[in-house]
Amino acid sequence: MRAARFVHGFSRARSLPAGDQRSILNRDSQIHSDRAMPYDSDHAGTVISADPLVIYAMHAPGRPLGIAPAHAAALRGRKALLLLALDATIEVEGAAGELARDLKSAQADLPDVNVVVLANTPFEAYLLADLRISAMPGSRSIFVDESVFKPWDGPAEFDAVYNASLTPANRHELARDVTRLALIYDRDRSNDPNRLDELKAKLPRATFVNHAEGQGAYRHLSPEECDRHINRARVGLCLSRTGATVAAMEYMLAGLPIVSTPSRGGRERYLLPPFCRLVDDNPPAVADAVDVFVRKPVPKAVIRNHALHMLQFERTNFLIAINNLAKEFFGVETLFASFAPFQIGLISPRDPLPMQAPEKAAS
Amino acid sequence: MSAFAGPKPGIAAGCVVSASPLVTVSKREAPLPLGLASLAPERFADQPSLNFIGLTWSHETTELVEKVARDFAEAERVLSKARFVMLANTPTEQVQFSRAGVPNILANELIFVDERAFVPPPPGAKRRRRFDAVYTARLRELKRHDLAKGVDNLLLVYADPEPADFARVKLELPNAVFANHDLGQGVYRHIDQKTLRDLLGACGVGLCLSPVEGAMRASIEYRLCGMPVVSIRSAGGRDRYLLGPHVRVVDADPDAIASAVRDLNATVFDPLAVREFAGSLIAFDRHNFLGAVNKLVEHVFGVHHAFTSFRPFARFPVSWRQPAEIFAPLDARAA
Repeated sequence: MRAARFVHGFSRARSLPAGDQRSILNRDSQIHSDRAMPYDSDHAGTVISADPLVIYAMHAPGRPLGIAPAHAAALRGRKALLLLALDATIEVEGAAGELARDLKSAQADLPDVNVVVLANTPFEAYLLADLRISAMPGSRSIFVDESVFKPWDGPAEFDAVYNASLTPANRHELARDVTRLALIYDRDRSNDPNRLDELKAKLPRATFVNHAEGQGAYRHLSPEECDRHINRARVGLCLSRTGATVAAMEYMLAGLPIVSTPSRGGRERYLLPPFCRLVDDNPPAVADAVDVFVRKPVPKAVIRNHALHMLQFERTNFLIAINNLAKEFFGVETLFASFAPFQIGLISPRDPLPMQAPEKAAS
Repeated sequence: MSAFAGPKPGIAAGCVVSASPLVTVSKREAPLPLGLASLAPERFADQPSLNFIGLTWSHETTELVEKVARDFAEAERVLSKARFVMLANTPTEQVQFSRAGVPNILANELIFVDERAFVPPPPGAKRRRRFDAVYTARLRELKRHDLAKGVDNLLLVYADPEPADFARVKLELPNAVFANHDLGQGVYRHIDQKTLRDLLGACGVGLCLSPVEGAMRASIEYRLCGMPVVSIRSAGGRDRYLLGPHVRVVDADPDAIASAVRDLNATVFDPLAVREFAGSLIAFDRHNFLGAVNKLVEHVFGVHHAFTSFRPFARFPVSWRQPAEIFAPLDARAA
């Protein structure tokens, strides 16, 4: 499960300073009204600044501009800067071209909205530039809340933890040789009812934390709970082939070193030695690398400080670039004096409630 | 004007990082808008190549980027087998390039500075601070030496200046020590890297005072030598690494600069900690540069994991050499 800062679209405007909230309410009741939020679980986004209008939204298949089209009427004719994060990597065959086509089509309806894609990797930015799509670095990991993910004292009872939804793409099977393994997860997005049983059979020694916490039934964990369970392990795992894998940053902020397989899509950005071991895609290699960190632990504070150092660097440069964009688009100097407006939970494309509802009904 | 028709200078910045497949890194300069491809286009005519082009001046404005787009379009016609990728110094430049359809990656020039050439004095070395601050910069107006007039004890290091520039800065900063002329007993003398390291070791703070330029290599050289830095707000790329407790970014005001110099000199910094702070950011950017380059090489040539370390990229992309030396790896392979 992604440790989510579940954001209900534009409703996050409520967390803006009072003046900004009023301006949203007065000028765009459509934006602020709950009735005008037809969000399903894939609408992550927020108003970062009400005036001038700066929006963060998550691109998803079928929704090229994230939440923006849901409020097209409010946006039409109004200058806005839309920072568009990517839900899935475009480093796969044809994905960048598809995104470019979708964006150009969607932007035709919102010509005053300046869209800048936040690339998770330099290569994503390259692919977009080649297609004349504005892009800049903006890894989703920089929005992780370091006040939530932090080290806890106490002995670790697991060798490794893997925080990832139970989809086949996350390749939990590669962790089968890890002796003491904890799994934290969303439900399988494909809603395959057999996936959990399949993994329990393949990983008989693993602790399925969400079900253990729910005494047999799936229980959603808050980000704070996720952090506590991450801290029950010595090593964090990243085993998918693609993705920004925000969990990698969460592990490091919690003070865990990482064992990862090679990947595309963004998590490799932060996986530097000596806090990460990159291994081949096979279970013994994963287990061996975990064992190295278990036998020779790196102090949690050292790993967390490294992560904070990278975050400070990334956020400082992100802020400089956003302020330059705001100056160019709106003529406003230093629109954002700090990263705080962006640190309100922008990383999750999903709302946990729809995921829980069927479970509640079943129980 | 054609990107290939300009005069060919006697020296250029850049290197051949791989002869097969052909991968180069060079700089966009006035006579060489496409770097090594402008210098010797015939070498890029017949074989596929991937060419990274760095910047010597800020490209955060639309018109300069449009000129790059035109040069790229010409290159596509003239050197159809060559692929060009701009190296943006800042995310803002990256947005500008991508909006104009100019292929690019973010790779600040300062990652290519050779960290082995700029090191703090050895831990046991006797260190006497003779100067409150040093400014390593050509004596050009754009460098705004005048902003250092409030600094009490100032050292200037520079490339051979025009007489008028020298006279102007002498007037602006009558009490400063002009290192190159001081060492040459009144005549300009080039300062080699070792001497520069020794000089920096005698200074408290490094200054960066231009409002706009390129990435400004001195800004990272100071910190690799373990020095804190005072800078004014700037465009061009040096601000990427100007964060942390050893840095003050202030208004373009002599009093603010002098105050920040005093403030930093009043604090004791471990030179190795300063170097480590900046060096870890450089290491992070190099890690991601290498990942991007390998993906691009795979994308263009189908070659996997072409580079296993940053070593081929260190130093020479920002070193000016004669063409024969630059192209030696290609000539050796041909021979």
